[in-house]
Amino acid sequence: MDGSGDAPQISTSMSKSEAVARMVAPAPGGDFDAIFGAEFGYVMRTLRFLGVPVSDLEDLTHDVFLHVFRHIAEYDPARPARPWLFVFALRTARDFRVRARHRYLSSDELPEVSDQRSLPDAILMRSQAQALALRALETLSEEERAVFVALELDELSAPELSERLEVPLNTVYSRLRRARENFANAARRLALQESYR
Amino acid sequence: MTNREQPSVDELLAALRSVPSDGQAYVDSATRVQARLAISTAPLAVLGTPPAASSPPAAVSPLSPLPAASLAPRVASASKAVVLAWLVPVFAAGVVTGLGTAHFRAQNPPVNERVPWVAPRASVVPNAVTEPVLELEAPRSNDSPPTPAPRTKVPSAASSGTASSGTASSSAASSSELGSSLAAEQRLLDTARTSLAHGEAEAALLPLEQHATHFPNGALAEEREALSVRVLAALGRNAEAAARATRFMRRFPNSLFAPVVRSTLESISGRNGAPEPKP
Repeated sequence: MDGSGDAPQISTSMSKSEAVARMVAPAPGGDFDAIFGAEFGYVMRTLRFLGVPVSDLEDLTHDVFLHVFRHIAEYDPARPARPWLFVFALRTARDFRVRARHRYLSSDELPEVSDQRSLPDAILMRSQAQALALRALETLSEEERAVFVALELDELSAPELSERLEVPLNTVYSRLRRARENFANAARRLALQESYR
Repeated sequence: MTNREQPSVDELLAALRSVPSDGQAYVDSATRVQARLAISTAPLAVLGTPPAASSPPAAVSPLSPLPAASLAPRVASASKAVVLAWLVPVFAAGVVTGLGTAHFRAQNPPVNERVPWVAPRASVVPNAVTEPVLELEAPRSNDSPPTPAPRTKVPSAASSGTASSGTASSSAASSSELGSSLAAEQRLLDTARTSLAHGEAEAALLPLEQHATHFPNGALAEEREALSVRVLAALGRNAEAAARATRFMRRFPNSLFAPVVRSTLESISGRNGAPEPKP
């Protein structure tokens, strides 16, 4: 570092080295690099659980962290990162689904994925149980799935989720209950289909 | 399921919980995403509002508290390389056109700092190249090279990490505005295609160049290359078009765009007999 990182504002005299210095300067809020390093896998996994197809996983993980980057000053390091990240992931996945709706009208089936870029498909689909569970997740409504993933898989607390999503606590619980029922039913149905194939 | 036993809901949940959530498991993806982030955040970091300016650039932010810290260095070096590799062509292009990015920005009030580096469609259209959100000035003379500056390897002097200055404040960063990088790619190529269709092949060079710089291996790289061949041919730069077409055929032998590229190539040789030698 050249120690000139305290250059004021965007001055006409900002040199290239100053520009580079500023790029690697630490952020005031959270530490983006630390969050990225620690939570990359969490974000990717959560997006997958929230219904993002493997082929779009890297793109959307990128998008999530781009949001994180821009909002890093709002992050409170005293609180756990995952609930905060979950909301970004949820919004990103939702926006994606809106954009991609025409591509995935039949949600019962996961889109075929060709694994040319060594995507984390193998990791995510390691066992048949995982594959089945993911397909069962796919059958949940968007709202049910969000609550189900957050509370059952990510171990967020219901009050925390209620606060983050600005949804009444009772609603969170009722969505969770419906999600559990639907998940169980879907899993049973899918398992039956599989076994008679 | 191969066995007749149906997994219980608890087993299924356990299976999902066992999906790794640590970065180690996705190190390739993490490296790629980090590299892209370095690109997509760099302009904002360089040109955005500086963070609390009085705080000294506290040495090197330790990259990550990963349990087994092997992801961190790898990612760090990748991002560093990409950041610098990104900067070099941009600044180089700035020199070529006499309008360096930083310089150019510095001369303009930073009104649009928060604007994503890809300008909205309306401001990318040719003739709007002076819009401050654009990173590069359009080539003024016909002899400036159409291809992006080579991605030079830069000996890294800077310390670790991606861009992470505090650009968070107001945040016009609603997701719809951001769009995905695919949307950004799409916009650039749309602009180029429209220009070409309007007979303004010269104006198509800039968005193609930007795409090549920012998304060398982007989802639409194939389309970019095909379009580049057509643009070069339209400009009469037949040798370059032919060379590019050859590379295209090698790289994407089964491309949907292959017929277009081939017919472009035929029209060139129909015009000139053989590709003209490079001046």
